[in-house]
Amino acid sequence: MGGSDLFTGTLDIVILQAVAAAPLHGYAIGRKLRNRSDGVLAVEEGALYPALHRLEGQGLLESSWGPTDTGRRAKFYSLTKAGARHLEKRIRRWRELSGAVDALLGEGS
Amino acid sequence: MTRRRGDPSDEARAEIDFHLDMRVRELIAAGMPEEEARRRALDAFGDPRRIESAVRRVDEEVRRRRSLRELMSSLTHDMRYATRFLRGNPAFTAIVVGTLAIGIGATTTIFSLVDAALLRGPPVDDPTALVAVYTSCRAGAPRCTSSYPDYLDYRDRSGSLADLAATTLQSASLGDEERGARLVTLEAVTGNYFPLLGLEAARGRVVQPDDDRLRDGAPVALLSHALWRDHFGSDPTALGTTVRLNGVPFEVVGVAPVDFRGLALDAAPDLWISLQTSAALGIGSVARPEIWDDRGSRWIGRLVGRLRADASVEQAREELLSVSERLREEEPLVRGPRTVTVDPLAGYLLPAGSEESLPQFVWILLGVVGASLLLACANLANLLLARASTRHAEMGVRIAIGAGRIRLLRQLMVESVFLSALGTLGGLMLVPLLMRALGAFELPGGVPISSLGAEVDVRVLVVAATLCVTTAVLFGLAPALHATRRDVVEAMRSGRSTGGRLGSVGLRRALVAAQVALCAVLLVGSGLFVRSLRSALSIDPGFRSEDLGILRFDLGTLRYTNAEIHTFATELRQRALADPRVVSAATSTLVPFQGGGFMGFFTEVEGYQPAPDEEMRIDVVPVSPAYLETLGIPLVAGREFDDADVEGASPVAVVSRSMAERHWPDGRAVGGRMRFRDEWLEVVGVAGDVSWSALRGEPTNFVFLPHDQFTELVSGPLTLVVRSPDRTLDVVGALGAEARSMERDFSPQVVTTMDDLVGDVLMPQRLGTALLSAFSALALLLASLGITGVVSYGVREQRKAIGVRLALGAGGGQLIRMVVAGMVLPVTFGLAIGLGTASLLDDGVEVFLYGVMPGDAVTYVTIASGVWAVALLAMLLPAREATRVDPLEVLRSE
Repeated sequence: MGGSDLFTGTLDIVILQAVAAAPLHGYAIGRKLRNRSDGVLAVEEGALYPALHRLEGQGLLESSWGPTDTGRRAKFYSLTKAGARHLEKRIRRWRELSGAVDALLGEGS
Repeated sequence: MTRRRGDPSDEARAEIDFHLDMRVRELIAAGMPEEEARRRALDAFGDPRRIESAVRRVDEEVRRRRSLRELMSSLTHDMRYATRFLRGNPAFTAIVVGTLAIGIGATTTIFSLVDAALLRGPPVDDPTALVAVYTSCRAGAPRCTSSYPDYLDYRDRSGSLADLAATTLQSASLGDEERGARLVTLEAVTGNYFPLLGLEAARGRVVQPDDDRLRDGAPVALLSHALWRDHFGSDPTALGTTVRLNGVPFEVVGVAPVDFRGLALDAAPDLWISLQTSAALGIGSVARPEIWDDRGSRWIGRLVGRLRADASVEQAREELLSVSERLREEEPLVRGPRTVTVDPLAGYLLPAGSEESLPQFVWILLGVVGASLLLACANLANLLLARASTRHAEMGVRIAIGAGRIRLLRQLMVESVFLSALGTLGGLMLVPLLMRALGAFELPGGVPISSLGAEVDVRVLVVAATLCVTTAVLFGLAPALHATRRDVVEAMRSGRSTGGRLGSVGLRRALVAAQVALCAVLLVGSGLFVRSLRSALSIDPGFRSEDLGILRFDLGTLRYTNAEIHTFATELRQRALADPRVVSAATSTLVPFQGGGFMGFFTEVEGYQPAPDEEMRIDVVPVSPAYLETLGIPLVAGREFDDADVEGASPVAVVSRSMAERHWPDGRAVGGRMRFRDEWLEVVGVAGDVSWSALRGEPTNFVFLPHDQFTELVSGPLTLVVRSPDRTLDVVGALGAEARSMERDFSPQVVTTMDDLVGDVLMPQRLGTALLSAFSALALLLASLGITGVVSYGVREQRKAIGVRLALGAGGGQLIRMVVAGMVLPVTFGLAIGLGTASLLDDGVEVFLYGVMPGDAVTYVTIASGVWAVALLAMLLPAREATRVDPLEVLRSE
């Protein structure tokens, strides 16, 4: 349970981070996640979509339909102001936490 | 920016399809065959249908949360807006909330009273099968007390009664070692009383048939819940302890249910014992052993029967009448012309003589407050409509800037509901205050309102509040419906005023008519009550009530014998006379307006032949010397008793004027002779008729006997009455202390003045007058507000017409006539309807009126002209605005 919470929270941050630079459609977000994590966060790609809709419902993301490079229509997600604030906060907390864990592990070894 | 949301499932699917497509393309571009690429894409993605439904669930949840949030935020906004509006219009808010609160609070309070007094009834099994049985005493008084043999015959000879129980009320001194002594009212009941009612004790047990064995009953007592709470501090260990009633030990065996206060509305017993054991208390007739067989006696206060399942009240009545007929044949002398009455006993027994007036009185009260609730609603409607006219512009603007119609309607609805909710809340807070205020009054028949155990009736509160909320919503929405019509917006834009509100003016005039009508009804009612109260105060009760002090006590509860009571009374009277502040003093078993009965006896009058169905009974009042002088009862002929009328001297009597006129029509009562028991008395004087209990009481055959000659009659409660012009109550108090110096355990039942006693009798009139006056003043105020509102609205609407006329040289008077004209009809109409209704209703108040006939022309004419005067003033105040209209400005603005 805690593990899944950790996973959800992590997935959220990663998604928000993925669209932080520019609006992306779901497939592009998925690809970005796959590439960046080197498959560590390899999950069922489909699991991305409920998460995207949830984040949109929470007002952290907003979406709009638009043409892709190839001219197909796709749904693009971008970060809202609230999303940006949330992401910043979570990153800061994550850094604190991982810093602490690093320090602990460093001491132990 | 955002695309209009289409079907969410399509959107989710399109998104997923896009993803899979992209993946497949990518894999194909990397050189994979299409078939395999498709499979790989699906493997990586997961089951698309499952993902799609998961996405849809998320969307659904998001949508639900969002709509809830939106509703809450817009309601909060509406509430904030409503609060701002109401706070910005404090007069409007105060009047609406105040009148609603009064209407709802008063209606709820009075209905609770009606419920407690008339509707609820005692908590017994199937009350519809209960009957009250009475023996008649004289023509016109069919409901009197009975003798024990009467009771046994009614019970045993009737087939339609499943059972019949007998009870009597007595006062006694309750004492125990711990808590000291106090005076209590006890009800002595036959053993079948509680089983007949189907009543179980809340704790312990009730008085049972076994406790009531003939002359050998178990001395047990059932406490009322109130006595258990007040005297025993709700101590559960009180059960099984012994209390002393007039010094006789009784075992406490139970506590009655909290809502059982006996069957009579006016006298709630403190405890119950069995009838047979009550003889041991040594007070009243029951102490005399021969009383159980004395058919001529009347000591059984109340008979309560339960009908057999298949019997009707009519059957029981016919059957008991034939029983009574047979008794008359068997014992013609004592049973005489007595007959029997059987009444259904559905609710509480009402005090004798107020069976009609008490229900009428409380229904009138309910009518008054109900009318005030209607008035509050009419007023609310009128004010909401008035507000509509002033907020017209605001509505137009809000529509112009794009507020939705539904949005506006909801806004106004929130305001209306908020207003009526505030009113209901105010009403709720008023209820306990009103209850406490009413608790100081008595209902007709001397029933203290505080003793009714009235509880706030939630049903009525709900009905009253619903009425108000409905009114508020209906009339609150009217302006919104109107203002949201498109033509209004057009009109706004062009700056013209609209004619589209004629309908609402008509409605407002109708409301004014209704207010005037209700107000007229209330005014007629209060007018009649006020005049009646004034004439009641001027009625001559047959004695002089001012400067009279009253000290009532019962030495029987201290186990004094009758002779000892007489000695004590004589001594106390002597000490009173020794006080320089006392002008005169007397003792007696009875003074006017005190309650308590006469003692009835059979008589014969020398030289008088009674009519065939005339019961020759007299009501006897044993009195000390100077009784007539002290009370200021005029002596019509002869003399009153003096110190020479003592035991051993020839027995004498003073008769009432109406008795003298009836039995000695030649006017020679003094010197006449009448029989009392087995003695012949000489009439030595004739006293004026006295109103004993009600101001309009029928004169009875009453006879004063000197209690120095008939000491055996001096039993039970006795009254010392003193005439003392200076600080009367202090003097009586000092005499109470004097009595305590003669008897350590002396405790007076009543210390008061005669003026207070007379005042108590008029209590219902005072209560009715106070309530009606207050509510009709409120009604008049509200009706005038309604009139003023409509007229000033008319002035605003007709500015243009007024301006034109002013420009054409019309005078102020003409203009005022123009704006006022529309109100003449509603006021006249409302007044006519109100007075008409009042004349139909005022038969209902007749029983409370002294010396004023309903339909009293003076009252009606005064009210009609008064209402017109107020209405005219209410019209003219705003009408003067019309004369201040600047014609230039009005014309220029066109």
